[in-house]
Amino acid sequence: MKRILLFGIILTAAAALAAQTPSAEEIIRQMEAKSSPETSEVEGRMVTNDRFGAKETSFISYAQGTDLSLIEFTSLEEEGQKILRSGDDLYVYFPDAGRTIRMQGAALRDSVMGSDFSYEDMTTGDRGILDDYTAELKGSESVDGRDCWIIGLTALGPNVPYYTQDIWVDKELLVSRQVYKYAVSGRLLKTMKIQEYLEMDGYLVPSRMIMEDKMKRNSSTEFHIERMKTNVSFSRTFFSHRELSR
Amino acid sequence: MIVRLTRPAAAAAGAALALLLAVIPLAAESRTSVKVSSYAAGYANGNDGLDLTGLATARLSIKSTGSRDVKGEFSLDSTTASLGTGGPPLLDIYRAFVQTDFPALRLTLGKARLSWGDGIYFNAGDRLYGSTSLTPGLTSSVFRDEARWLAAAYLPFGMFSFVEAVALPPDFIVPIMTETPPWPNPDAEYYDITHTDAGLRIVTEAVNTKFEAGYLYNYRDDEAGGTEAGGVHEPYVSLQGYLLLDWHLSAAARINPSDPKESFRENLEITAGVAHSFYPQGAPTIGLRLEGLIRPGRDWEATSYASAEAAQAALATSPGYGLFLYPEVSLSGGSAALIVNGLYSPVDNSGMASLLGQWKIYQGLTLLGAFSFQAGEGGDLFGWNRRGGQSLTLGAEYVF
Repeated sequence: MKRILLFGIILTAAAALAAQTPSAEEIIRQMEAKSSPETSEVEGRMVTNDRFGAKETSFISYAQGTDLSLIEFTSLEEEGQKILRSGDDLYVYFPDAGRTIRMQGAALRDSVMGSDFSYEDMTTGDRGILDDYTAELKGSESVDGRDCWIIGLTALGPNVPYYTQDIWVDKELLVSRQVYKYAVSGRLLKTMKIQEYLEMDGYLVPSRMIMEDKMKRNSSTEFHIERMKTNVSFSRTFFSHRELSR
Repeated sequence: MIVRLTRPAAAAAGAALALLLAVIPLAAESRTSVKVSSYAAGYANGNDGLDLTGLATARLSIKSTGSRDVKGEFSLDSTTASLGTGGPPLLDIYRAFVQTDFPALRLTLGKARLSWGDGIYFNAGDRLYGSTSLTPGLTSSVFRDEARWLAAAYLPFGMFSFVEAVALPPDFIVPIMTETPPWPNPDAEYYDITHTDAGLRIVTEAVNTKFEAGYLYNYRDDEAGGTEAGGVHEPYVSLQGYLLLDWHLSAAARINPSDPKESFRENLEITAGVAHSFYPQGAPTIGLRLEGLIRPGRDWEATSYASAEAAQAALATSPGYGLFLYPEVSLSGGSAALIVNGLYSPVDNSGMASLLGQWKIYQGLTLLGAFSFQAGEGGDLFGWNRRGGQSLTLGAEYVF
C-alpha cells in the first residue's frame, strides 16, 4: 500500500513539473516575441577577425515584422551597398555598377563582405523559426552561468541553410544564449554566442554576438549594435526596389 | 568626357584638388573618400619581347549624407599611365549627379549609371553602354561601371515594378580645355544637342521571374547606321529568374529606319547565362557561370585576319562572329577569391583565359594579381603571338 502511495506521489510531482515546463514550441514563440520588436532601426558594425587582423564593416538596418528588412552598409569600402529581404526574396544592390541582383537558391549562403555571416544569417535572424523547423526540448545546461533550455530544431524541408540547430534559451530571460548550426551530415557549420543584450521597450535584443564559421580557419565575426530605435514608422513602400536603389 | 592636361594645368588642378580637400571637412553633410589603384603589368609585345607598363589611378569621391531625399556625388579620377614615361595625368569625371526623390518619382541629373538588362559579362539589354563588346579586360573585378551624362525619371508602381525614362545628351568630341591659355578651348566642337538619345524601360516581376522591356532611340551608334539625319531604334527584352540554376536571357535589336529589315537581321543580339554556387564543407565556395552572346545575322564561318593588328582592331570594335562564350569558375572563402574566366570564339576556335586572384588582406586594402593569355592561331581573333597575347598584372587598391 505504501509503495502504491509513493508511486502516486511521484507521478503527481512529475505531472506538476511537466505542467510547469513549457513546450519547445512555446519557448521558441516566447523567445521570438521577446527579441523581435515590430519595427526597428539599428546602427551597428561587424568586425571580422582572421589571422591578419580585424576588418570592420558598419551598417544601418531597418526591419518591420519578421520578414521585411533593409540593410545599408556605411563603411567606406562598401558604402551604398544594400540588402533587401522581403519574405523569401532577397535583393542586393551594388551602387558602382548601378545593379540590383536578386539572390535565390544556394546564393543565399554566400558570405556577406567576407564575414562569417551569410545573407540568410544577416536578414532572417530568428525569423519564423517554427515555419521552417520542428522543435524539441533536449534538456537543460548552463551557459556562461545562466541556466538554459536546449531546444533542438530539425528542418521541415530542404529550403533552409541549416538542417538542424541547437539553441540554448535562457530560462529566466527567455532569450537565446548560443546557437549551433549543423549540416544534414551532422557536421557543425557555425556557432553563434550572444554576449550582450540591449533592453528597449520591453524587448531584449542581442546587441553583441560572435559568429564562427567552422568551415573557415581562424575566422570569427563580432556583431555589435551601437544604437537602436523601436516603434519606427516606415512608409508603405519603404521595403521596395525604390528604397533599395535610392 | 576626358580632359588631358599639360604639366602646368595638372599642377593647377592638383592645387585646386588640395584646396578642395582642405575645405571639405567644413562641410558637415558630406563624406569624402579616396581610392588609390596601382598596377604594374608585363606583356608580350608581339615581337618575341616583353614590355612593361604601369598605371595608377586616384579617385576622389565626395558624397552627400545630409538628406535621404536628395543625394549627390562627385567623383573624379586622376590617372597616370606608363610609370616610366611620366606623362601628364588624365582627369575624368567618374560620377557627378544629383538625385532627388519626390513622393511619386525620382529624378537624376548629371553623370550617373543606369543599369539596364541582365548579365555580368554579356548583356544585350544594356543599351546605354553596351555589354556585348569583348574589350573589357577579364582581369577586372567589376567589368562595367561606366556612366553617362543623363537626365532620368524613375516612377515606381509596385514594390518591385517601375518605369524609367532617360535622355542622354551627346558628349564633347574635343577637349574643352586647351594646353595653353586662353581657356576654354575656342575651337571646341560639340555634337548637336538635338542628337540626344532617349529611352524608356519597364521592369516588373511575376511568377518568380523578373521581366524587363525597353527601347532606346540611339544617335550615338555609328556602327548601326546612326547619321546626321537620325539615329537607330533599339528595342530589347530581358528576363531573369531561378529554376535549379540562376538564369538570364536578353534579346535586342538595332533597327536603322533606312533599311529596317537588313539592319534588324544583322544586329539582332541574344545573350543568355546560367550560374550556380556550391558550398562544399570545409572548402571554399565554388561559383560557376556560363554566358553566351549570339548574333544570328553575323558570320558563322571563320575569317583569317591578315595581320595581328587587323585582329586586334576587330577585337576593339565589334568582331563579326555570331557566337561568343564567357565561362567563369570562382573559388572564394573569407577575404580571398580566385577567378578563372575566359572568352571563347567557337567559330574560329580561339579564345583567351585569365586567372585572377584577389585578397582583401587588411581594412580597405586589396591585393590583385592576374595572368592572362590568348590561345589561337596567328590569323584568329585571339592569337597567342600578338601584343598582349600573354600578360601578367600585379596591383593593389586602397580605400580610405
